[in-house]
Amino acid sequence: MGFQGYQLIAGSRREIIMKKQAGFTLVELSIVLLVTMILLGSLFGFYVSQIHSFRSQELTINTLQNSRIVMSVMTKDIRMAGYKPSGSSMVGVAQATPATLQILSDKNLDGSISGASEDVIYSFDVNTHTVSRNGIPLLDNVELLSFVYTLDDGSTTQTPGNLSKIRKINLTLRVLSSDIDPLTKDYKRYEFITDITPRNLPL
Amino acid sequence: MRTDKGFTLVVVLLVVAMISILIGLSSAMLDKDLRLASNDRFTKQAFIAAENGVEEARGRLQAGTSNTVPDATPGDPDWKAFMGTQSKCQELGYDSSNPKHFRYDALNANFAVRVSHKVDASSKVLYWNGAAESTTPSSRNIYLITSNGWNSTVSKTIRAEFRRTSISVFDYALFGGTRLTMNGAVYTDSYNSKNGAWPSRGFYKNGNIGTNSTASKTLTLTGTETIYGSVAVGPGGNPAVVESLTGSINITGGSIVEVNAKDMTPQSAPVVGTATPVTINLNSGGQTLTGGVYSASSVMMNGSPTLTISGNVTLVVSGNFTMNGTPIVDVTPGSSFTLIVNGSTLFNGSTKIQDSATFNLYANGNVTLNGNQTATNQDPSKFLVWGTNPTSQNITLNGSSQIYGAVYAPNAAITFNGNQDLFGSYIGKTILVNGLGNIHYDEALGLLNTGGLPGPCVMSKWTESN
Repeated sequence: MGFQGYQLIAGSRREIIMKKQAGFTLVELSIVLLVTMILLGSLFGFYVSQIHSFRSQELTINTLQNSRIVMSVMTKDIRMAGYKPSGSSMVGVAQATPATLQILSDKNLDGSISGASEDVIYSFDVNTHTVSRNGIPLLDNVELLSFVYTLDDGSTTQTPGNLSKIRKINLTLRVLSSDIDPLTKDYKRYEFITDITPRNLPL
Repeated sequence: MRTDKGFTLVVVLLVVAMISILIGLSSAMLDKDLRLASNDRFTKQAFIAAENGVEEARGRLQAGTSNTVPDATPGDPDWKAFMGTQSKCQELGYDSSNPKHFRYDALNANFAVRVSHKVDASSKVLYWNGAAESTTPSSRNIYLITSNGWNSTVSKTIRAEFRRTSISVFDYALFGGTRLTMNGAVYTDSYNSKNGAWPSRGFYKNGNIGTNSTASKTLTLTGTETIYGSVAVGPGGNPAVVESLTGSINITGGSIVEVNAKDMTPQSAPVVGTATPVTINLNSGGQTLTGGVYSASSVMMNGSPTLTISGNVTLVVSGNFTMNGTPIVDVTPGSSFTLIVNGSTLFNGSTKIQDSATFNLYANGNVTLNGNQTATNQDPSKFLVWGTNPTSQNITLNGSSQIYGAVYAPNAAITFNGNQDLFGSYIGKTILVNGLGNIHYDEALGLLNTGGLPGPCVMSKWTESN
């Protein structure tokens, strides 16, 4: 140890006894504090990066899960387009634009379309970034909802003139995470693309 | 100074604990996502398995295929066929002690299927008569198929309805029972009128041609021709012997040998009841036949008169049916015209077949189609020519316009001299193509109910239950 102290102890026979006293110099203290701060700083940095990573992962998973559920619901609805009683002339797609799709399916085969489950409209509001099902928001933070229609002659269009000629629907959904990814400082983007062939449309 | 050490340790422990919590949460979240993703994958796989079950049932219901599921009692409302393991079929109602239940192993272990006849409210078996469900027995049963598919713990159920078709006589673009000859630069391809107008050259490649013949050089193609489809020769025949290909010939589907010869039995003209005699001898003006059955010794139209058909009209002509000049036969919307001609038939002028109207010509003698046709619906099934002669007749198409129609005349020598395209199907004893008109086979004719043997099943409804 670098520091040694001396203490005078009174006695009959006066003696001066030199006793060692443990201690730190200012320099040593400063070094210890500096090392501690570096260690703590590193740990804190690691902690913060883990927090960011966790948040990023959470955003990914939430976005994927919500999108997957919406894709599943939309696929199931679209697949049923045109379900109708024998002899009915109903057309399974009532409205088809690049961002709006109206699906008709006579699920109870009573010859008429009634109720929200038989007449389904999917629409995308570019201002609110929301995909709605029959006007009820289904998914937020949507950057793009796009429909492309394949017709009976194999051609594709986003604005079909004759809705009865639609045979396949290509659906693209691009979703942003609900918050900015702390790792990339930008929103996460996920794009889902699927081809849906409504089995009842050509029947 | 010892307290400094303690403080650092506590902070380190706290940070490590928080990081551990984060890792734990992250793992839990990942695990949940993995389970959801797996469930999503299993659901999709179960759905695909259920669809496989539907397709397997459809395929095996067709007679003549491998692993056929026979329907020996098409009129029995209680008949049921199951495909799958016994335990899985039992979930669909299979009762091994029920003599009307038949179980077959499925070709895939991931699904089980039940097939039953569609019945009405009073348990009568329903058939498809071409336009509606009917209890009148025919070969065209309606089948209900329930298919359970599964993967891991997830299952999906698909219910589908299929109608059995009958094998149509119009199964080729061109078919000559004993000989087929094509001269000139023409091609055959196919389209489906149910899906709209013919799109473009070679878009569909089922413009098949063929013959039952196995004799040398009885299928002759000369010139620059493309067959967007295949070329069939008779059973046991050698395509290299039967075919004679001269020039630049392209056959996209190659040559095949028929397993069974195409049935070439002529259709009979419908038997009509009491007919009202009528005289049709027009030089100008017009005449209208309203719904009913009529008979005439002959029909003669010269100049430009119009014979208007309104309603369901049957006209039996014991002699000749002759149109000279530019007369018009106008089958008005929604009407049907059945023309039965025992003598020869000469069509000059125009034939109008308006929306949803049909025109069936049963000809026992020679037929010459020289005029033009206006088929507003562009549907070949609306204009059918049936050659009924049991021995021989000639059918000649010299049309000056595109013709939408089909000819089935198994004992006729059919000759094409026109230069306009033909949409439909042409079946005769011999076929000779001399003109430059291309042949576009309408695949919808292949599903036409022409009273033949039971054919494949086509889907009419599909629904996903869970």
